[in-house]
Amino acid sequence: MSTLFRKTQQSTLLAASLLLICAILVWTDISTPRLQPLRQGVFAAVEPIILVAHAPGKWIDALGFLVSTYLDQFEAIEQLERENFRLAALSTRIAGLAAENNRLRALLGSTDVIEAHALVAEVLSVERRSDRHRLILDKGQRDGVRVGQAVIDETGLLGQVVQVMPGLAQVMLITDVSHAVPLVNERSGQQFVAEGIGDRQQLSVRFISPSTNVQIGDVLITSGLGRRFPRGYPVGEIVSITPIEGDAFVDVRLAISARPESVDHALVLFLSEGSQKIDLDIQAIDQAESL
Amino acid sequence: MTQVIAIWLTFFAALVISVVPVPRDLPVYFFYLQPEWLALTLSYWVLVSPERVGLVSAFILGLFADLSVGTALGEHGLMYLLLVMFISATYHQVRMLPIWQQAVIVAFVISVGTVLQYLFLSLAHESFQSGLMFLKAIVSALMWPWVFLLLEMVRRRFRWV
Repeated sequence: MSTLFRKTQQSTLLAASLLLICAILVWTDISTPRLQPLRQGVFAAVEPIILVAHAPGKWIDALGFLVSTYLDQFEAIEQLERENFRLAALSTRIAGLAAENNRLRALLGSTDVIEAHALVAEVLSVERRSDRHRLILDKGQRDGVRVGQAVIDETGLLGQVVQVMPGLAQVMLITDVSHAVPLVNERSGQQFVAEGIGDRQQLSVRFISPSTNVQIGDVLITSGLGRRFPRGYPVGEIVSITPIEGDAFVDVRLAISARPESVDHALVLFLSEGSQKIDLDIQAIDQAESL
Repeated sequence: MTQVIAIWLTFFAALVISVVPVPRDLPVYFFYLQPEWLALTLSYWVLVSPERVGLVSAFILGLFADLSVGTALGEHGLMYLLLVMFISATYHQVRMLPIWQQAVIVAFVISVGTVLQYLFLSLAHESFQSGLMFLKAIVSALMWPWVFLLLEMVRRRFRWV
């Protein structure tokens, strides 16, 4: 009886200490980035779990492709060719604009040229839990992806890489509650910060006083402040401006332009050192303008 | 040794099933219809072999779950530890109960665990949880008999008591 008693006592002690360790871990992991290196170190260990879990979906997709009819594929190819032609035509114009942009930059005294190249990654899954907005991409450390890189789709900013495994990367969407992105209003040039509110379609733009020059329909793009996101990617369009009674700020909602729910492929942006310098230069100019 | 490996293989399987992504064209609440596979598997092993699976396994499993799901480290561990504490204190009685009563107990423990987990999380940051989270406990309870029978088969196969 006495040994049994001692055993229970020991296990109570063990339970209490493990619970305490868990509580401390959760606390530090949520409120500080201190556990990030540790997490990154052991993350590779769970990659097989995620890979195995995603395999059935991939096989089903492959099967769907096999059984789709010849005609369907023929049509799809034709459509893609048309799209490709349109985009190629567009890109010649963009090349011209980029050249012009660089000439103007040279005139402004900064010699660097924005060089951003992008890596196409397949979206393996979108997490559906209500308080966690994440994507998993099929490119990782091996492909050069690093924590903090911006991720876009063809319509706008999706989010940023928060975790990298050897062959997979996890992306936090801009709609996640713990995400904020610095923005600039395309029309008025004013700077804002938009935060995720747990809604999958909307962001909340913070600290806008009722007298601020914002209108429904204004398009907000990334401002490049904070050097996390390169400047100029569309984030969303203002859809509602509601005054809050008794509050100094108005409630402004932004409908995001990216479509994380239906995205199949995403671009991971790589920025060279020079482009960061340019972003800083742009900020300096912006600040000078606003003064 | 083979028994321990077998146990951890079932944990691996449960972990894989819980990471399988919800197809994108299904509505969001489908997420809450997925049972807590890992909690169920853990409950089973604590119930039938508390000398092999206990607090330390729950802690390690919690960390694995956190890493593969991407939650804060220790978040799943909190719930699993509570689960193991409750079941290892009562396994003598719970083992004797018919399966449906066990399912009720599992639902109870999982919902208490979920509530405590989210209470703790909401202390640390704002979390957006709906009453739908209790759906997970109910669905888990409905899955308990099947998980129990399946794991019983696994255990028989490896011939240990």
